[in-house]
Amino acid sequence: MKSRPAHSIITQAGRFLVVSIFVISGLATSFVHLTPAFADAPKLQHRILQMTTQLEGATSDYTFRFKYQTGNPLIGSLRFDFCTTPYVTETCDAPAGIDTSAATLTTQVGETGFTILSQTASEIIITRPVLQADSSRDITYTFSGIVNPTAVGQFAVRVETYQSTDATTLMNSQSDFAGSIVIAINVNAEVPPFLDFCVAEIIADYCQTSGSNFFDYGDFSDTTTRFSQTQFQVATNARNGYVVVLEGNTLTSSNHLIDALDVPTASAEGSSQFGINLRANSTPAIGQDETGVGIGSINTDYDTPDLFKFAKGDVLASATTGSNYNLFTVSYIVNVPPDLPAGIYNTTVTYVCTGAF
Amino acid sequence: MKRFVRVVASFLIFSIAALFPLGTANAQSNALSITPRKNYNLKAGESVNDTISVINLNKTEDLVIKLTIVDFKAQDESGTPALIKDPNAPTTAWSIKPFTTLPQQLSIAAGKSTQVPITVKIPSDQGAGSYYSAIQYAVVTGTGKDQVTIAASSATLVFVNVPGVAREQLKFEQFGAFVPNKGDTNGTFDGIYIAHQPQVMAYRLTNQGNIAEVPQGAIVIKDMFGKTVKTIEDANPKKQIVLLGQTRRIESCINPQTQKTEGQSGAEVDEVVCKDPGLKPGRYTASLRLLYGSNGNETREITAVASFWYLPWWSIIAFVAIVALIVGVVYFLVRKIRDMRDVRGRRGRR
Repeated sequence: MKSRPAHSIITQAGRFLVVSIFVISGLATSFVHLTPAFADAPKLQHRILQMTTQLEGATSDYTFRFKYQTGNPLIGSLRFDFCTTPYVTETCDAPAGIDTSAATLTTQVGETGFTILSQTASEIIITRPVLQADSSRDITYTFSGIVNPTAVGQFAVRVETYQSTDATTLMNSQSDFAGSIVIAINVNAEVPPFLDFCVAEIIADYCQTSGSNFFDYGDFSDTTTRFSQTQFQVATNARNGYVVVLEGNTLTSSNHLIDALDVPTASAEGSSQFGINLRANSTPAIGQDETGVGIGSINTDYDTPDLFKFAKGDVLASATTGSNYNLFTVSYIVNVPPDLPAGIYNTTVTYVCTGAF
Repeated sequence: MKRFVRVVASFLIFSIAALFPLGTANAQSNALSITPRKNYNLKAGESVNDTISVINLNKTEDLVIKLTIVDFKAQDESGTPALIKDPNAPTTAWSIKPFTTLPQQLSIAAGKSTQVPITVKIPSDQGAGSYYSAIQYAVVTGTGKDQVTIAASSATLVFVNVPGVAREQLKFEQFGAFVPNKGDTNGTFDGIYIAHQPQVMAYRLTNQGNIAEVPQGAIVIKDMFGKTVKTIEDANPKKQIVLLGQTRRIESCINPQTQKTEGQSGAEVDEVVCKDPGLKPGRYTASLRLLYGSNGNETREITAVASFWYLPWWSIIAFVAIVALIVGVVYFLVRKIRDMRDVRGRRGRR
């Protein structure tokens, strides 16, 4: 009788590993192939939409210029669908205020003979007996009497071509035309945008009262860090938010200067250092963390307690959307070396607040 | 008599000094409210006379501001404007400095507002395209003998679109699920999310034309079975602009939530925060379609597809456990079958 050799642990583990890899690879591959690629239908070529007026709610002519898709397709009808989004979404939501129900087809160039088959507030279908379109021919169709959307911004006109004459079957192209609505000059928006900003030693009552615009460290010492603090407050309803940028230079006296800290650095007595941050610090004990109901945040380089930096052009704080009030406290430190030439050292630090675009 | 004159003169000097203190230290408002952005659509040869509101937020001190038109460019891939304040810097190709007039200095009483007149006149031979600069409001804080003076400054970004046949070209760079850093100055496009769900989809575009573009579009996210799980109806919800020559990153929350609050002036403030979209573990595919093209210009489109995995730790552990179980069962069955064959083989040889 021949006994069966014992399985070594290496062989067992190896088999287990090989089988596991096959199982996982199989699952992953099947997941990948389950997702269909982003497929596109044929498109009209060189699409241009020209509106005679882009003002919100105005009555405008819409001229569509294009060439039919390649391959000289058979065309019996076209559907013009006014939507908030292009074709990537399955549904078409009509832009607020659009009204195509009284539109008329006033110009036809290229492939002609179309009439309006049906129309609603946001859709027009034109039809004619089926023809073989010339893909190289410039086409123009103008609709007059369309009431523009009332929302400022972009919209899309989805245009589908069909071989059938009622835009129901045998669709042979899908394309988007970009349209946009602008606000009339000197017409106030519903919510006027604002950007509130103030700077002072101490700020109270949402910028309505504030303290001094100046401060003094007193006499510098190579054995003691001099420090002080100021505040700034920001709020905006601009949808892109705001940024507060640091401008100004380090402390100078004639041609002597105290070194600005170009990377976040701890305060070190006896060194040449001028820096700021926007946090509550313990070394030295100065500053305060951000307060307020807004969503503004501090730039990383100025957001670590006890580390200070001063780099002209740096963003100190920002909000990426509208943001109610936030109060930021700026802590300043100055350290000087023993051999600092005597003199009156001063500077102007400017905080520049702008809306983002 | 001389003594009387000296006394009267001294009295007058002290009185004047008391009424009009020397210097302006600590007596100036450093608080202002401005309009952050203005957009104009002007044909070549057209002009506009408009006003921009500036409010002195300080109720006790007057505000003095200097107004200058400065050019700006993009500081980075976000929408941070970098003001070009060097007076010797050459005027940018997109500057509205040559077309714009406004006052140089303003004084606004405490708690009051003023309307700053601005005129933009586009020359009749100006080509179609986008033109932009910023109106900077620099607070005049006065002079003091102190070591550090702090000053507030703000700016209105002014965009002018001159319609006509223009060169419009956005180059697609990148699309995917995105994790912004704090402050949203940068971030990373990640393919696998383990510790948290992806909250933001982003794409990067480079403007190679002469129109500052505001692309529009939508994003559809499907799961690994092809089912649509999220639709971002507006892929550019903040109408962010791709400036001339800029590579711009535009972000959209997958699941935005708007918190409405009221500002101090009573105006509504919409704060938008990105929340977890509630995805289940798995692989997701996002499809982006963007359109751009100004009125009368060719409509152009950009499409892109990206995928990402959401695999929280618990799902990885569960997946490994299930695979191990399957492999274990298969291995056990294979061994059993082999043992049975061995037994049959031995019986047969007997």
